[in-house]
Amino acid sequence: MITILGGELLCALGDVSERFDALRTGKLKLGTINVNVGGAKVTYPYYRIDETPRKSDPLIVDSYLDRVVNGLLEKLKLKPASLTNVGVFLGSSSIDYSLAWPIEEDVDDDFVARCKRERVGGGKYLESLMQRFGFTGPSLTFNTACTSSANALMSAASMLAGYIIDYALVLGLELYSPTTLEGFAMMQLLSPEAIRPFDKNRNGIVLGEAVSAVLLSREEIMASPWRYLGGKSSCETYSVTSADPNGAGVAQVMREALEGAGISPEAIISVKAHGTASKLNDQAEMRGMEQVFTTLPSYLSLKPYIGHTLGGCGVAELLLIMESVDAGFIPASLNCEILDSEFSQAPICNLMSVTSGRFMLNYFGFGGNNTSFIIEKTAS
Amino acid sequence: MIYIHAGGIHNSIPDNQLPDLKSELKALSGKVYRRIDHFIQLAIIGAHKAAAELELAPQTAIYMTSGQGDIMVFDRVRRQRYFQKMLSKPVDFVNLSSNSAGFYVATHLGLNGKNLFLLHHHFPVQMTLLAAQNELNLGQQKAILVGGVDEWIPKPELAKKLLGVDEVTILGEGSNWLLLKAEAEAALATFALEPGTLNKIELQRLLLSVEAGTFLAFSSRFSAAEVAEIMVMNKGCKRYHYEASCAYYETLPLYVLNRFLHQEQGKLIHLDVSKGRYMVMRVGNNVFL
Repeated sequence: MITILGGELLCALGDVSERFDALRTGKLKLGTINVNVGGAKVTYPYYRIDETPRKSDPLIVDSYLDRVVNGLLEKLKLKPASLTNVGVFLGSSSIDYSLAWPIEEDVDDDFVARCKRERVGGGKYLESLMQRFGFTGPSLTFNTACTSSANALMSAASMLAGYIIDYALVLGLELYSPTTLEGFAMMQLLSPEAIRPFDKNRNGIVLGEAVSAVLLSREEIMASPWRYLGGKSSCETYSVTSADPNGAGVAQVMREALEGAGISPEAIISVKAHGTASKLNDQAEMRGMEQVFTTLPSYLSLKPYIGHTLGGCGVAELLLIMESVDAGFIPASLNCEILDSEFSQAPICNLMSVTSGRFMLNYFGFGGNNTSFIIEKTAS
Repeated sequence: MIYIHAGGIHNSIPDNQLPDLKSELKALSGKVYRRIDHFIQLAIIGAHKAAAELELAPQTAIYMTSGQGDIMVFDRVRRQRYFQKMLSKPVDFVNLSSNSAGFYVATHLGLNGKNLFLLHHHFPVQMTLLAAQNELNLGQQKAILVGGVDEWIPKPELAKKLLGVDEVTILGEGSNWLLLKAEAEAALATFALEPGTLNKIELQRLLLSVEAGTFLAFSSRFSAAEVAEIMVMNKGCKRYHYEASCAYYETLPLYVLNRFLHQEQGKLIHLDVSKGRYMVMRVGNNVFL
């Protein structure tokens, strides 16, 4: 049995007590950001971790990753050296941070001469982190768009199940990127005012930052009330930018996740929906849930709290669910004031008292990526 | 133990000019794809050569790896943003996520299984194969197409610096794929990857148990002196030479395995090294004779 030992999260909600307060009360820390859209400066809502100025500097990314890993180890009272045979897995949609600097700097003819002969690339951040912490086990960086860190977690669980490793450190990473913001703005996917999952008047996503770390193991090595039961990931080739709105692909991945976990749909207490508040995503997800569940369980989107943190949302939203249930509740799904008339059931609109049970977590992304996994908190 | 059921090679040494893959892809597959770029064309061509003639189960997974991913679209988007002060095209923005290539490979081959794009700083091919081998052994996947895709970058001087290779290195591009399954029936070869990295003493110990006649292939990261040292210590083994047929790119190990399976009969051990740590892959196609 794969155990989830704990995690650490940096997101717009602040530290753990601030997060707890926000998840209970629904008080948000929504900021704004200026985005260059075709030469015009447009202001969009945005969820930032903090006000530290961002630039394409790998050291900034390293510092955030170090904060979550150190925070996690401190919480679990572990030293890096005590994590023998640990694998490290990172999911991010922005694997190219380390390439941004050299390419961005390539403005003059002298750059080639100035550039250091040193490999950069998508595996660089994890490599640096492993060196700093002295980890020597297997590692992999995942880029599967918005499902990146969810897929990283599922592969980590497989490595544990296969006895390749004894601990798995899984990281989610998504920081400010002007290219990403402009890309989503250009595709007219950003909401100008708020993220409203499943609402009739939803009008797009709001992006956010999150850096997170979670530690997994096996029951015989380190027990935990939290367990990973199984999951499924698939590629739906309906469109490179969205799932089929009829929900068939989404339903299939949820069904197979339940099969992989060895449980029936009725065993699910609550679904953490992907819930991006884009027209098509919410429609596909709702249609999918309606096909899988005879009676829909309660469901929520966490994106009104921290924004859509893209490749980082897999681990970040897992940790928000765990923190909430550890505190005895599932938070309300905010901003759904008028349910889309095509949907059969509204998301959770008030705090729900929950201390244990089985939860489905869904993530969908560009590239046809559909991912769903099941976790459990035991009553003891 | 897992098994190789098919392989496909696309390997080229561009002559200071980006190869025209659009027409090659059309000639090969008879299809014209829109909204794809050079990296995605490269991925589809290699995967097509490996698997287009097979009846793949739709759930077949795609695990793709690369040294740098779709680097040219990244370069193009950033140049448009910073120097030309214009927005990138939506298609370029979507393809910034190199995982888009897996989507188009899945579309081309009619697949809907898991689609991962994986990276590792030292051993992208081996770590991707480790994930594939483990999930096949666990029965979580029945078949996985593992591909390594690296595109040639038209600015070789800069590319060599960003790749950390010396200036005399010749850069190539490739898209090399293996179809892996846990079942032996109808397989071409066996495959096994040592799951961890080894130090030199552990490597030497492992090589002592290798049977005579086994081929040894060395990645380009080995110095000539180290190759000579290992060959002297393992006199019963034969050196597998592939170096003259390719230029450097980071997923070359998948080319080497594929080339061996196409050209030789026997057992091959592929050795790779980075920062004093070694990874070992074994393939054998004589067991099915």
